[in-house]
Amino acid sequence: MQDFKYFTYGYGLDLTNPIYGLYQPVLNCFLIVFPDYNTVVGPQLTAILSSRYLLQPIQLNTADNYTHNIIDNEICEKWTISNQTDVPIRSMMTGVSVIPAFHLISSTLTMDLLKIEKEKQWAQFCLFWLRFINSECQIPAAGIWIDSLIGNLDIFNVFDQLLPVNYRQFITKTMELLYLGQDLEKTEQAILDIINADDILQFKLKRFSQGYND
Amino acid sequence: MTKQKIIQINVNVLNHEKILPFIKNKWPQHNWQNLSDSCKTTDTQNIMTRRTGRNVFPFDTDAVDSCNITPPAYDSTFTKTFSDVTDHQCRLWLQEKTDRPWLVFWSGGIDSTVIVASILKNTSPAERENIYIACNRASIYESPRFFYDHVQPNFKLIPSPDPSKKPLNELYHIIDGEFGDHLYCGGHGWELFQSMPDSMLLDIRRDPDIMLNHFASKTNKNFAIWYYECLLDNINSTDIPVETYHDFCWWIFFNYHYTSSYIKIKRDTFANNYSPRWFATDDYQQWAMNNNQLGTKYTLNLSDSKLASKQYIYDFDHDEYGRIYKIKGKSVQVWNQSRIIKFFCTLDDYSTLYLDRDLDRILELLPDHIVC
Repeated sequence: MQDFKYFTYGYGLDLTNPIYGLYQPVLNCFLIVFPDYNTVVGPQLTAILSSRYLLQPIQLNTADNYTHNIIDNEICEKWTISNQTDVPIRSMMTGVSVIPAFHLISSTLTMDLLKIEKEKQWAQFCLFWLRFINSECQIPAAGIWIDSLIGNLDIFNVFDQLLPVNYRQFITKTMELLYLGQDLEKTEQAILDIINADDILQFKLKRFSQGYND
Repeated sequence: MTKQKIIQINVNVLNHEKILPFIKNKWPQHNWQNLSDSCKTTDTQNIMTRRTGRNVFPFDTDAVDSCNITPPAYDSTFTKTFSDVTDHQCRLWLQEKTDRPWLVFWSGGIDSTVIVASILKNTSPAERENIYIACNRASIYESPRFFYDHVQPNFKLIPSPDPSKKPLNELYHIIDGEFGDHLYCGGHGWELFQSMPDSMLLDIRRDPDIMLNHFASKTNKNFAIWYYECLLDNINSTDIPVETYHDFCWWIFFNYHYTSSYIKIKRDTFANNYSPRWFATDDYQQWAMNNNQLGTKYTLNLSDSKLASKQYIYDFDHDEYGRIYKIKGKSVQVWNQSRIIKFFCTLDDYSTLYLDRDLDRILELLPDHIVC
C-alpha cells in the first residue's frame, strides 16, 4: 500500500488535530483515514464514494483506546468500532453527521483482501483529486458540494454557474469521473488528459503533487 | 345510512387524555396502559391490524377484510423463483395495461430498481416509448450508475410529481415499489440482527429469550411477552411456515405492516383511484411465503436483506457495488407527513379522524372497533 502513488498515512502534520475515518458498514471496517474531514474535502469524499457504497464518517481520536499510530491507511481495514449500531442506515439525501468512536476493535473481514485494497486505493485516489481541486481551483463554497457531484450531468442542472469560469469544465468533469468511475487507471488518464491540455493546471498539479502529504 | 367503521387506529396516540380513560373504563379486560405506553417506543404504532390468521389484538379488524388484501392461500408446491415471478409480472402487465402510458416511480432503491430492470429486460425500445420514469435528485444519489447507464438512456424522464395532488391515475398506470418491503424481513428486528446476525436463525418458539429481551429493551418485559405471545397465536392460526427470528420479523411485515401500508396509500395518495401494485400480486405473496430460507431471501450479512431482489438487479446490470453494498434504507418521502402522523384512526372510506378535530365522532365510533 505504501508504494501506491496516492498513499498517505492519514495522520496529518499536527498530531493533536482530530482524525477521522470513513467506515463501511457492510465490510465493517474503515476504508480510509484522514485529518481534514471538517474541511470541505471530507463531505465531498463521502459524497463521491456514495456512488459505490455508503460511508459513515467516524471521529477516531474519541475512542478510549486511541493512540497515535494505532490506525492509519496501511491497516485501517483491520479496525472497526464498538458502537457499530450507532451507524444509521440512511440515504445521501438525509445528510451525514460525524459519529464519535467509543472503542476501536479489530475487524473480522469477510471479503477478499485484494478487493478491499482496491477500494482503499480508490478512496485515496479520490481524496488526492478532491484536495487538488479544493486547493488549486477556488471552489467557492462548502455548501454546494452535493450539487457539484451531478450538477453537470443530470436533468435537473442548477449548479455549474456557481463554479469559477476558468476551471468549470475541469472541476465538473473530474467530479463526474470520480463519481462514476470504476477503473482507477482509466479514470486517472481521463483526468490527466484534461490537465495536460492546460498549462496552468499542469503547473498547479506538479506543484501540488510535490508537496502532497498529510 | 350505514354506520362507518374504523379500520385502523394509530396506537401511537392512544394515550390521549380523552381516549385512554374512556377505553380503560369500558373495556378493563385489556391492558390499555401497557399497550399505549409501549407502542410509543416501538415500531408497532400502526401494525395491530392483521390481514390473515386470527385477530389477536384488542381492535376489531373485520372491516379490513373488505379491503381485499388477504394473502392467497399458502401453496407449498409453489416453485417459481423471484426472477420467474418478476419477468412474468412485467409481461403480464404489458399485455393488460395498454390503454395509458406507464409512469414508474423510481426512487433508486432496490424495489423500484427491480421493476425498471424487469422492464428493460422484458420490453423492446418501441414498447418503452410509452413508459415514463418519475425520479428526482434523491433517486440519482441512491443509484447513480443505474441511472446513467440504464434509466437516462432508455426512458423519458419527468421529475417526481406529488402523487397526492394530481390525478395521475387518469393519465398513467402508476407503478412503484410499494409492498416490495413486505416480501422480506422488515425493520422490526433490524437492530437486533445488526448487532447479532446469527440470531436470525434462532427458533422463535424454542429460543425466544433474545427476541423477548430485544422487545423488552424497547418497551418493558410485560409488553414484550404479551406482544410475542399474541403474534405467535396469530401465526399458529395459519398454515404458513414461520420458524426463525428472521421469519417472525418477516411475518410482522407481511401480515401486519402490509395492512398499514395499504391503508396509508389509500388514505394519503390515490384514495379514490387506487391502482394495483407491482409487488402485491398473488405470485409475489406466494413466493414470499415459500422462500424464507437462508440464502434465498437473506444471508447473515447486513447487506443481503433483500437478496433475491438484489440478485435480480445484478443479473441485469452486473454492478458488483449494488450487489455487495446496497443496503435497504428508508425511501425518501415526497410529501409532508406531519398531519398524517397525528391522525387517530382511519375509516372504511379511508378518511381520517383527528383527536383535535373529531373527538366526538371518534368516541361514537370507537366502541364498535374494540374487541369485547
